Amino acid sequence: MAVNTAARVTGPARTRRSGYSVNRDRVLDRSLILLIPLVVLEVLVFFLPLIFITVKSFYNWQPGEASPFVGFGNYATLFSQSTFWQVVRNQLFYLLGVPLWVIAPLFVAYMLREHVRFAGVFRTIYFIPAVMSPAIVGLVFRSLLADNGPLDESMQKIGLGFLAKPWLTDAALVKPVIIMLVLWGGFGTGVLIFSAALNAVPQEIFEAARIDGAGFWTELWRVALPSISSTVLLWTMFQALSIFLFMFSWIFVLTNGGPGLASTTMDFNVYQTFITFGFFGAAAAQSVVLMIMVIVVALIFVLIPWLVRRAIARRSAVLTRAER
Amino acid sequence: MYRNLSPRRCAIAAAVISSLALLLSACGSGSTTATTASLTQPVPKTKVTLTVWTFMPGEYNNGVAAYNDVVKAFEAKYPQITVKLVNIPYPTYFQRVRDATIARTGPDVITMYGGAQAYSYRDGLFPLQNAMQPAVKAHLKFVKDNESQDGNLYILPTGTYGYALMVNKKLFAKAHINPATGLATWQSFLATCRAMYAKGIQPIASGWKDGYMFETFMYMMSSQMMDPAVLARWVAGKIPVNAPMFVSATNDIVAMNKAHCFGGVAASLGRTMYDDSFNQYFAGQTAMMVTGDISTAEQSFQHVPDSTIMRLPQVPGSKYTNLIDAGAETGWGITKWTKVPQAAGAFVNFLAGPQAQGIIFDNVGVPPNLNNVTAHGINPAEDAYIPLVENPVNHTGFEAFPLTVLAVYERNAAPLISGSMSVATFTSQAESAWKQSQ
Repeated sequence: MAVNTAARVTGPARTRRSGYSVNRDRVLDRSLILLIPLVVLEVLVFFLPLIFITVKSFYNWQPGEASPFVGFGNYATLFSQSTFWQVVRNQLFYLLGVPLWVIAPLFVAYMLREHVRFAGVFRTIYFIPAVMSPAIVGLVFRSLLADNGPLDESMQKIGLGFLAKPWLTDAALVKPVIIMLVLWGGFGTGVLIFSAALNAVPQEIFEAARIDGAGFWTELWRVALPSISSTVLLWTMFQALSIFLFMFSWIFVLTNGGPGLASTTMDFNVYQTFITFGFFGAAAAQSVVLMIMVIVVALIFVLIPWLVRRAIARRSAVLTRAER
Repeated sequence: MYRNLSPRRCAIAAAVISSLALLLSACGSGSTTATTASLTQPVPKTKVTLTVWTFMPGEYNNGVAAYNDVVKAFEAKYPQITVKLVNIPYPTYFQRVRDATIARTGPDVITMYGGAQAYSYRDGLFPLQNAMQPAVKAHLKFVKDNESQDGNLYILPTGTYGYALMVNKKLFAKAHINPATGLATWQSFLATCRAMYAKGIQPIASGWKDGYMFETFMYMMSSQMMDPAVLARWVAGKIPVNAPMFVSATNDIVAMNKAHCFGGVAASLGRTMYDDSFNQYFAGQTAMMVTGDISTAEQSFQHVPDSTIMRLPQVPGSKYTNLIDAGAETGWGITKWTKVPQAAGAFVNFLAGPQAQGIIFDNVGVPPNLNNVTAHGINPAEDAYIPLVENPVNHTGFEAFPLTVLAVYERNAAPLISGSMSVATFTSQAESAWKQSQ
């Protein structure tokens, strides 16, 4: 050990790095102390329940009673149910909303950047829905979109009765309607985040692009988007994950999963299985499957940029070699 | 960094995680503090507090006062027991009970429906078939209907409900139909619907959004098709929900829809049974409405004085001539974690006895489910309703519908009525849900 330490400090380069490393380690030590409460909290409220639920998913879990070990029985039952696959299909359908949830606020944020008068007022107006709980927004829209409700009646009054629809009770309409409502709920936050990201981009870049003759779309596509690509990616990932994690309140308030199972999401299904039916082991298995899906989606969003960067690097290397 | 994670450290970490997991999984297996036998033992003289969770007081205009009177009467009989009655709104009630069941803490006595619903909460409830006091056991009605599929009785049933049709005589007269003949047989009933619809009258107040209307008609019809032996097998979980009588009942509901019994389909899909359909009848817009309790019947008479109450005609396949689906209004269970089992046992028996049920009847009009007590009506609604629900052949299979099946009914009622889901698919989904509950 002593020999190793001596070896580490002998060479000049290593000495410099070693010195830097010692300071960094001290900082890290202090940081670690500060991080410990958070780590402990995370373990207590996240990892332990996760392990607990995972373990329980292998049991016919009956709280307070004998809970026999059933191996993968809960999973086998789950995967054999057509209703489960219908819910998974719903989940994938909601993913179709992600491009809309990203592009719409991004576009508006970019428009507001273009010296629009009262841009701050617009941002504030767009942001208002974000400060309201989805449950409250859901309640409002449940009334507005009720069959023959205010929206339908208004349409009939202005001669657009043919557009009046059973927005939340038609199996074909309900998911697109929910996608639009989620857009409405998250739009302001998206605009705010993209506006902040765009404001952080040096204006000289845009000015230089304009001098070079870049138009609106070229500027958006070639300058703005690459400059805030990490923000766009983060927002996209957040939106995709929210479909798996944060749809419950919308579904619970708006449709209760109906009509049929047309709007049911996995989190809502877990709730029903656990609370309404009392199938605790089955609900635990569903939770684990949901967790795995979330991890897969998150991994996809981590891997895609990595693969893109790798491809670009390879292409650059090939071009460099070709130029030589 | 990862090089520091030696195999030994990995093994220790794995052991710690495994131990924690085992510890956590052991947390769920709490111990029981009372036994079934202790429920029937004499109530100790020491002062105790009994916590009761219920949604019943909130179900009636005079409900809070009625249950307070019941508590006062019980406390007078058992001065050492203080009852803490917690009124929880129905929409959140069962979630609270589920949470308590998982946590093994909370109330000593709870309101709970019998049969399949109680079975779903059986981890937290004592079987009560051997905890009934002899006087209660001798006279309590609908006990068999409320047994669960494992043969246990997890609640003591109280009160009586019965599904019948409110009839707006004025609208029948407008359609030139005599209610007695129009509702005499199944065929005349469907013909009545068609005739009324043709005259621009909505026959039955309807709303399919919450699915309760489908469930209600399913109970009303399937109960008619169950003789006592079939009912016993159904209660024991030995008949699946794709059995012919349930398919037949589903087809009958669809047939009613085709005969325009529920008015315009599109509008009815967006309405709920409770509130929306009731309001239709109260506003005089429909000729009939399904009701299950005197309280709603009385409201109906207030809004539509030209009302009467009649049976749903017997469906094809009925084993009876005049049965209505009727059973216990609710029930009372004792939680396994109670620290005061004797007091809890005394309270549920008191609730099932004549004194408490008499107070409830006097205050909110729920007839007792005791065969040694006769309820007498004091207004037109009670006069018309009580003879229907007191019919000794009445029974219900309602309690034995598993929650999973009811969830399928509730979510698929609107698609079934709108025609976007076939009876075969509807039944198949219900059957899958039934299997899940077995």
